[in-house]
Amino acid sequence: MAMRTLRAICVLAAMLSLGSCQVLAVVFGSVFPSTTTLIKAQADLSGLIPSDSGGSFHVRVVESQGYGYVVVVGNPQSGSEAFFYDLDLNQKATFTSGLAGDAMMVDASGNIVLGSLLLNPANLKIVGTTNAANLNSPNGGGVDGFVDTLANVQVTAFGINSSNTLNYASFTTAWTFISSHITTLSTSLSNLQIYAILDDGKAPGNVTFVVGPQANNNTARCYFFSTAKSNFAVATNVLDSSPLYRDNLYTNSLGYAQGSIFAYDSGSSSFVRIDPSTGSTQNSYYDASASSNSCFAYRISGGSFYGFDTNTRVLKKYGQWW
Amino acid sequence: MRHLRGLALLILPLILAVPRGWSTDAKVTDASVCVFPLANLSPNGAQQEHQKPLSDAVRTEFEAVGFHILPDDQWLAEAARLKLAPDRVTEASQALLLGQKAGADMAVSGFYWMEKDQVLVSLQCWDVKAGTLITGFLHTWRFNLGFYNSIHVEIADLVQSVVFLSAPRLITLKNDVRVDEITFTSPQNGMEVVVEGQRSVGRIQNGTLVFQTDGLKAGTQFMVEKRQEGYHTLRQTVIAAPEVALTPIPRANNLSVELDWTFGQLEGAGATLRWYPKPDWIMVNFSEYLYAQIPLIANGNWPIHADSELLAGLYLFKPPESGFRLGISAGIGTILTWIPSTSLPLYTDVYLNVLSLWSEWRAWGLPIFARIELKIPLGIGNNLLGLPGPPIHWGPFFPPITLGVVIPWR
Repeated sequence: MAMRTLRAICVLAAMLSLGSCQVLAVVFGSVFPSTTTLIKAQADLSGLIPSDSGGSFHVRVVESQGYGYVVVVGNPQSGSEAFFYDLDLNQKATFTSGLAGDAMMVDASGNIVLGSLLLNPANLKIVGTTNAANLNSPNGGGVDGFVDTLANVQVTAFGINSSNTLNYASFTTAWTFISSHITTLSTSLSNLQIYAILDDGKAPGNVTFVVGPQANNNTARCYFFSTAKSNFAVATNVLDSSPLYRDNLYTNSLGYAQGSIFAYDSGSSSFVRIDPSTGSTQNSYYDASASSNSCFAYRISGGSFYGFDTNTRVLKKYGQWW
Repeated sequence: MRHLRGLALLILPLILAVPRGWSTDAKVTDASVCVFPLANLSPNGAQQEHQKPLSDAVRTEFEAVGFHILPDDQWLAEAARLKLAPDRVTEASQALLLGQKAGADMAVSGFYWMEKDQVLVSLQCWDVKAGTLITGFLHTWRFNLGFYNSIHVEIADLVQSVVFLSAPRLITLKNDVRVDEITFTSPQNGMEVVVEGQRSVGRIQNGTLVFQTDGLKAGTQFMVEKRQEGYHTLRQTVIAAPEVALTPIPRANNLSVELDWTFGQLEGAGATLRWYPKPDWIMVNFSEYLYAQIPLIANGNWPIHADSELLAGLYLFKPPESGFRLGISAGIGTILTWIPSTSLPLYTDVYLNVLSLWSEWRAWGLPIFARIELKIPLGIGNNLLGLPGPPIHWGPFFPPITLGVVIPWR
C-alpha cells in the first residue's frame, strides 16, 4: 500500500514537473541552439575579419532618421574597423582604415558617430568629425554616448578609473568641448568595469550603466545604475546609489529594447528580459547552447536582435522571442 | 451423470495398473515426497467423492517409480498447529512449510474443480530444500469415461518430468535406470544435432529428432552441438532423459535495420542499416535521422535537420545468443539543417563520433538497445554548432541518448 502511494506521488510529481515550461523545453530541447528557430538572416564576416581578431569585435545597432544599421565594430591590432549592414544584414559600408576609435552613438544632429567620424545616416558618407577625446568604446554594449536634450549637451567619452570614479566629457550639439567630469560611481563597490551603457532612446529620458567586477569567461555579476540623462550635465554623484544587480550574466549580451534590459543568464541557461526598476525577470527564453563567445545588440523598438559570434565571425539576425 | 462418475471411480484402479510410457520398470529413486490431498474447489463443496481417488492417483504414480510417500501423520500435527485444513493445502508457502516439517525432499499439492461435465486439475511439485517449484500442470477435461485415463497419463508425465528435472540435484537415480532413446524436441526444423561434437544424430523434423543411445545412464550430462546453415552454431549441455528440449539457435545476420529515437532530437526518428562483415559481431553502420526543431515561440522557424552517419563498430564480450550485449562504434557524421521559409543557406555541421557505447537487451524476440554518444563538432563550413569545442549535447549538458530496436533483415 505504502509502495503504491509512493509510486502515485512519484508519477504525480513527474507529471507536475513535466508541466513546467522549463522542463518541457529541456526534454524536447534540441542539440542545436534554441535561437536556431529565430534566425532570420545571416552575414558571414569570416572573409573580412581574421580568426585571431574576432574577439576584438562587438556588434552595435544604430538607428537615426528612419535608417537603421547593424555594425560589427572593433579595435584589432591593425586599427579600428567597422562593417555596416542594414537591418536585414545586407552589407552597406566598410571602414577598415582612417578610424580614430570604435565608439558609436547618434549625436544631437542625427549623425552616426563612429570614432571621430560623423556619418550621414542616409548614405553613411562622412559629414564631419567630433572633438571627443576618448574615441574608443569602453564596453561594446549599448551606446558610447547620448544626448541630454534638456541641457542641450552631448555626453560621451566615458571611462572608469581604479578609484571607481566615472569620467566623461560634455560637448555642445555642434561637438564643441564644454568640460570633463568626474563623478563617484559607487562608494560600496570596487574594481568595477563598464559593460554597457543603455540609452532608453527618450528625450528627455534615462540611461542605465551596467557595471560589474572583472568578468570570468565573459560572465559577471552586473549592477544596474539608472539615472536621468540630464544628471550628467551637473555631474555630482549621479550614480552613487544602491544598485540592483543580477548574477551570471554574459557581459557581452547586454542590451535594451522596449523599456527592458536584455541579457543571457548562464545560471538559468536563458535569455532574460529584466525589469530595470526591479531587476526581476519579466520573460525568459531557454537556450542551453548559448555561447559566451557571442555578443548581442538589440533594436530599441524591438522586433529583432543581432548576434555576432566572435569565433565563427558570423553575424545573425534573430526574431523577437519576448 | 452419477452413474458415469461411479463407473469412473470403479475403473480407476485398473487404469493405474497400466504400464506407463517410460523405458524402465525399475524403481528409479527412493527420495521422499509429501503428497497433500487435492483440494476440492468445486462450487458449494460438491464433487467431494473425487478427492480421494484423485489424490491416490498422484500418490500411486510417485510410488510406482520408487518415491517414498511420507505418511500423512508426519505433517498433520503441524497443519493442525498452523490451523490449516489438511485438505486445503494449496499455497506454495503452506506446502513447503509442511513438507519441511515432515522431512520430505519434495512436496506435491494441488486442487480440482468440477461442475457439470467440466473438470479442472492443477498439480504442483515443490523442491522443499530449495523452496522452489520443480514443475506442475493445470489442465481441463470434459468429464467422461476417458477422464481418469487422461489424468493418469498427465500425472505420469508429471512424475517423469519431476524425476529428470530434479536428478541429480535433488534425487539420486539408481544406476540401473537407463535411457535407450532420447527424443530431442525443438521448434527449429532443419537444425542438425551433433552429440559430443562427433556424432551427427540428424536434423530436427516436425519438431523432433530421435537419438538411439544404446542405453545411456539416466541423468548423464552430455553436450550437443546445434548447427544449421545461416545460423550460429551453438552448444548445449543436456541431461539424458526420454525427452530433451533443445533451444533454438540464433540466425546469423548479415544485414539488420535499426529504428531509433534520440533525446535532443525527439521530434523525429532515425533508421540505420547495419552490415555485418562478421555476422552479429563486427558491423558497418549507415544511419539517417530526420527531425524538426520545435520553436519555443509562436512565430519561430521550424528548422529541419538531417543527421547522416557512417560508423564502424563491434560487439564486446557476449555472443549473439546472449540476452544482454554491449557494443562500441565510432565514425563521422554530418547534420544538414534547412530552415524553411527563409533565404538562409543550408547549414552543415560535420562532427566526429568519437565513441558510441550501447547495450542491447533481447525482449519480445528483438534486441532493444540504449546508446550514449560522444560527438565533437568540427566547425567546418557554414555551421550552427560552432568551432570544435564542447561535445554535441542537449539540455544542461546531456550527451545524445538513443533508444531503439534492431530488426534482423537477412
